[in-house]
Amino acid sequence: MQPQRDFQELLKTQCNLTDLYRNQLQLTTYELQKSRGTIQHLRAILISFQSDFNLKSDQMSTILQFLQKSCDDDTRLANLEENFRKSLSAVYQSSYTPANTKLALLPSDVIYLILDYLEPKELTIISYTCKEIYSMCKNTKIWKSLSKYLWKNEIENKNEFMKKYAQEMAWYHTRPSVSTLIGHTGSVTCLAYNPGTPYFISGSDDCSLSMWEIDETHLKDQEIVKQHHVQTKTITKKVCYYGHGGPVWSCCIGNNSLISGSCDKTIKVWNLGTGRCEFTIRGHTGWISSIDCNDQIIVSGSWDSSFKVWDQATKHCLTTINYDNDSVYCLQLSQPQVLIGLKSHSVDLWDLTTSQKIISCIGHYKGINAVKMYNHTAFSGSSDTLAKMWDLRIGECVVNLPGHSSNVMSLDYSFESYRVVSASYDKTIRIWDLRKTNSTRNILRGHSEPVFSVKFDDHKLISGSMDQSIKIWNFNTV
Amino acid sequence: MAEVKLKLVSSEGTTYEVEESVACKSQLIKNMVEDAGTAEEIPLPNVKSEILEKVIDYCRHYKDSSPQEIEKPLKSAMLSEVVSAWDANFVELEQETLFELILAANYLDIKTLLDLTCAKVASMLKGKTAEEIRRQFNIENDFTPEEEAQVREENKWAELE
Repeated sequence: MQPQRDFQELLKTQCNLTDLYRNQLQLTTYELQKSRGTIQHLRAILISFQSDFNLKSDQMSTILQFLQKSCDDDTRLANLEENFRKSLSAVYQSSYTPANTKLALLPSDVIYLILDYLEPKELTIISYTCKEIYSMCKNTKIWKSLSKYLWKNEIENKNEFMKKYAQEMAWYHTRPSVSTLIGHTGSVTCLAYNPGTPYFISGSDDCSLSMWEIDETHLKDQEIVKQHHVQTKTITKKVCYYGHGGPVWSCCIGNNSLISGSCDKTIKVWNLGTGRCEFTIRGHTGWISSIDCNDQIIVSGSWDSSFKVWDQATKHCLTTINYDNDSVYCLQLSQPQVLIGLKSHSVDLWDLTTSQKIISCIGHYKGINAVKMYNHTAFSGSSDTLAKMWDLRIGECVVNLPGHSSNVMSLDYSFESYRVVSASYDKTIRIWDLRKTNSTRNILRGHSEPVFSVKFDDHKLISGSMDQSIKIWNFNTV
Repeated sequence: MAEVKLKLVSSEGTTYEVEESVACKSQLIKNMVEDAGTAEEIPLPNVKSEILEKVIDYCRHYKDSSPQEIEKPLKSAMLSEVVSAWDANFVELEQETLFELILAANYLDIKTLLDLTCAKVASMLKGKTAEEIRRQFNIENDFTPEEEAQVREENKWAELE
């Protein structure tokens, strides 16, 4: 019936009802012709629609009154549909433009306050609505404060924000180009890399370490680095460090020197540029699992249930902390503290000035293979397949990062980007975003064996694996 | 000694007697009191009675405390997951009233109330399409289809999250 369709069209187009409402309405108009009882039904629906129609209470009562009158009058009932349409249309016209709910009528300061609560995607969507808001959304102020919330630092303008955001999203939404570095003849067990430097170090079960030079200018050339399992021209092995009598398990870069710990129970200090071994430090009675240093000291952890602090200048042992039959698996120095990961499932924070344990973080149920700390925040990766984030002030786990199907072997974290990367025995690398911790943001598959070590910077990630290769995963968007 | 009460007069001319410490949650009123003392009536011609009552409710609730700062950007479109239950409930209003409350908070200079009401509007924007936002907030699309396509193209980068 024609009028009935018109009526529905009117409601549909003007009120933009959702499908659910539309169906209900269809039912109503059909029944409307049959009995007065359905007027009550219409009434009920109207009340539930009130907010969608954007009706004020006085407008609402006008319509309800109209309906009531129709109930009492047979001729009115006959023309109900048409009258109702007119009545609703009149009310709707007036209610649809309640001038005082126009966003544009708010002072621009206030609109900025509102925009300040939105995320980039939402800001973008609202900028599509009209020209005025579009130009407001271009305002540098918004992007500056958003960048402060997102990355803890301010950017210059929206353009810069865009670049940075695109780079960040690349980590979570794109497949990186991968270059594979072949050279070691044993598992790659450890990596040392300081973001910003054009080289990194790898240590291996083949008893050696290597320095690899990264030519950033060429790394941007996607074509070259896309080839798999080929040692590309842009990344070259510069220096090799031979001398350890057992697998190398840990390394770190000090002031112009490379320091490594090995299963031969020694620590060696190498000349970074020439590859010559300058010192061999003896003292541990077990395999050395972990090592870290700063300008003054070296800290080493060992399967002999101890960790030792050494003087950088004299290479003398300053302190030994002994555990009771408990291997030290990993550590990180953050002067004057050191974070220790243990076979006994615990993550311990020590104060080196007093040689006192500050706190133990208990929560994993297998050995700790990786630790990483920044200020009061620590991360740990364990053979129980979990990575955890800890608040070191209270020693409690604040975030769980579940997802790996086997031992987590290595972790890296950057405070500015909220990014955590974990490498696992399950052969994958997972990328996490601490602002969205409910799931892994990206998974990197490519190594054919467990991944033992991982490091990252702004746009690339370096991983070392039992498959004897090193992979550089390049997310660069520039 | 009982606390001094201020007389606030709404746009309709209704007078509300409010404790000084409550009323002075408004920076505007606080400045007026510092300038002119507490004896005289304080006219608030921009604020309707209905809205002024809401504002007084809010100030009374936070008489001795302050709400926690709202985290930016908003993590959830459900405001109750971001602010206290009382706050979330307080701004559960018709859109028109909410807008009037925003204007009042802005005029009276009550920062935490302005933050809360703005966050409420922001939460209403979350997860919506441009078309839905236009409808809800009465925004007229003044882009030509070509312009809109261009704007969308240049903002593609932000569509990921």
